[in-house]
Amino acid sequence: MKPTPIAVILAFAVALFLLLPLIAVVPVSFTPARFLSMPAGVWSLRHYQALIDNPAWLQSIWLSLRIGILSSVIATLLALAFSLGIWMFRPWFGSILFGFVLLPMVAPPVVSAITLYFFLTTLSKVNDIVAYDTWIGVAIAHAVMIAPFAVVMVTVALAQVDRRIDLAARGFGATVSQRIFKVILPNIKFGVLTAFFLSFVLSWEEIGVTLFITSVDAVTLPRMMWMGLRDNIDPAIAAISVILIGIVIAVILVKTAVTFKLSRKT
Amino acid sequence: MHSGHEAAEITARGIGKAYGDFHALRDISLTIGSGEFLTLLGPSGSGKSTFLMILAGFETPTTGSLMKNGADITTVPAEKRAFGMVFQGYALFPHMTVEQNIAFPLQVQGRPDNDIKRSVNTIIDRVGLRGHEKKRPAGLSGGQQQRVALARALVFEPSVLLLDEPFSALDKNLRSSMQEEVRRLHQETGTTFVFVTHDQSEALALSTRIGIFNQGQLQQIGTPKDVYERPANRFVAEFLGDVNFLSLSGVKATADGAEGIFEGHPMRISAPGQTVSEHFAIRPEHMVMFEQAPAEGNMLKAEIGEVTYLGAETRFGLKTAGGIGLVLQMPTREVKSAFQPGRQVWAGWPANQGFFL
Repeated sequence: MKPTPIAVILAFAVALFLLLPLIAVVPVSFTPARFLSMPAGVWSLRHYQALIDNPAWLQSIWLSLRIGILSSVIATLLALAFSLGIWMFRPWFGSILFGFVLLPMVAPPVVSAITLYFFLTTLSKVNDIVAYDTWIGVAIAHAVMIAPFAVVMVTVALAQVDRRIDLAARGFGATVSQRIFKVILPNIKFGVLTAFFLSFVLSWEEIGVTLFITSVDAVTLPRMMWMGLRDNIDPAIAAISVILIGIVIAVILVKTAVTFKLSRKT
Repeated sequence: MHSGHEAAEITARGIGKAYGDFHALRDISLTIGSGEFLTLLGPSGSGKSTFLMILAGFETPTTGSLMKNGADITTVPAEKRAFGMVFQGYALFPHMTVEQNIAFPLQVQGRPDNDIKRSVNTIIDRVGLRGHEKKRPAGLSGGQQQRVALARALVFEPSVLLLDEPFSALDKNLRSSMQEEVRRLHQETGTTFVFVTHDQSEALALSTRIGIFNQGQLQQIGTPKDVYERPANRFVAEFLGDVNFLSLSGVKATADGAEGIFEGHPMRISAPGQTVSEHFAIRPEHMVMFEQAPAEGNMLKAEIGEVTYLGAETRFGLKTAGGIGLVLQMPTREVKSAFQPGRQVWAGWPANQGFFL
C-alpha cells in the first residue's frame, strides 16, 4: 500500500521537528562571538580552532575513547558469557537471572548513580586504580550501566540461532568450548559486534552517572561539554557538537552502505 | 567404511520419561540388533522422538536403562556416545561450506588433517556432492542439504545412525529417491540405523523392523509384513493403513483358525497362532470384487457406493445388506465396467487373509 500524501507530509514534519534543534547548532558553531549566538553576517572558525588549541578538549576525547572501549569490552564479554550460559544450559532460574541483569536498565539513573558513587568512594579507600574520579573507575561504572543493553542485543542474536545446530555439534562429540567458538559465535558475530558498538555509544554519551563519580581528573567529553555550558556558555560546545553529529552521520552512512552491500551479496 | 566402528546393538529396558505428571514414554523395552534398520513409527506426540532423543543422549530417561553392546550408557551424555544423527531440518552449520560441515565431526574428534581430507573426499563422492564442496548450505537444494546431513552423520563411521524425520521437508519424488539413497547407505555401511517417521509407507518400505508408538507406549515391534498383516491391536491396524472390521457371530475355534457367520454368510478363517475373537479385520486391498459369487473362499454380498479413482488403484465404498460400510481397493486395470455405483457385487477373499483383533 502506498502512503497517502498527507502521511508523507506528516512524516517529513515530524522528522523536521526532531532535526531542527540539531541543525540549529550548526550556524551557532560558526559564530565569531565569544558566547553562544547566531552568526550575524560574519562566519568564523575560531571555535573549531579553540578545540585544537585547548588540550583539555583533546584530553577529554581521548579519555572518553578509552573509557568507551574498556567499558564496552567488559560489558560485551559479560553479556556474551551470561547469554551463552542461559542459552546453552537453560537453567530453570534463568528468567530470574535475566531480571537481575536488566535491573540497571530499569532502575532510575540517579539511584544507580548514587549506588556507584558509594561503591567507588569505598574502593578509593583501598586502592587508587579502580576508584572515584579515575578512568578505570568510570569504565567499570559504565560497564554496569550498559551491560543490560549488551545482554539484550546478544540474547536477541542467540534467539535467531537454530538450537539443533548446537545439538548436532554435541552429538558429534564437540566440547563446550568447541560448541561456542566453532558453532555458536560464528552465527551471532553480527549481534556481538552490534552489542559492542551500542555499548560504546552508550558509554561515550553517558553523563548522568559520570557527574556523580568524577570530579577534576576524569573529565569525559560529555562532562567537559556540561562544564563548558554551565560555566561560560562557550561556543566550542557547538563546534564539538557539529563534529560529533558529523561523525554519527558518517558512521550511519557507512553502516547502511555495508548492510546494503551484504544484503545484495546473499 | 567398514574399517571404522562396528555396528552396535542397543538394548532398552523399561525406559520411561516423565515431565511432571505427563508421561511422554512408559516402559519401553526393545533390542535394536546390530546392523538393523529399525523405524520408530507413530503419530506426533506418540513419544517416538523422545525415545530417539534418549537414544542420542540429549535426554535422560526417568526410569529404565539403555545398553550398548552390553555396556550401560543410560547416563553417558550425547558428546561421549558419538552416534551419528540426521536432524529434522538437517541442522547444517550455516556459516560453513559443505566440506567444512562434513569435516566438523572429524575435527572435534581430533583426527589428523590427512585422514579428515581423505574421509571427506570419499563420502562426498559416495553421496554425490562432487562440485558442491565449496558451497554453503543456503546455496543448496533441499535434496543436496539432505545429502550433506547424511554425509556429516556418516563420515566418522558411527556405530549407530539416528535419523529424525529426515524427509519431512522434501517433495514426493525427491523423497523416494532419498529413501533409495538411505537404503543404499545402510547396506553399504552396515551401520545400525534408527529412523523416526510418522509416514507409514516410508516405514514399510525402508525398515527391517518397525516399532509402533502411541501415547508413549510401544504398541508392537516386528517386520513390516508382521505389523501390517498381523497387527497386535486396533491402533496398529488402523495406523498402518485402512482396515475393514467385521463382527462375526457364532465364532468357533477350529484346528487352524475359526468359523463364524457374518450377515448370514459363513466364514472360514485360517489364522494359525492368533487369538480368535469375534472381531475380524481385513485390509481393503486383500478383498477381490466379483460379479457372481466366487466358487471358494470367504465372501459377502454388498452394494457399490462411491468409486474413487486413484491412478494405479481404484477404491470402492461398499455397503453390506446389514448396512455396514466397507472399503475395497483393487488395481485399476482389473476394474470391470460393471462395477458402477448402485450395483450388487460380491467381495471375496481367501481363507488365509485377514486377522483377529
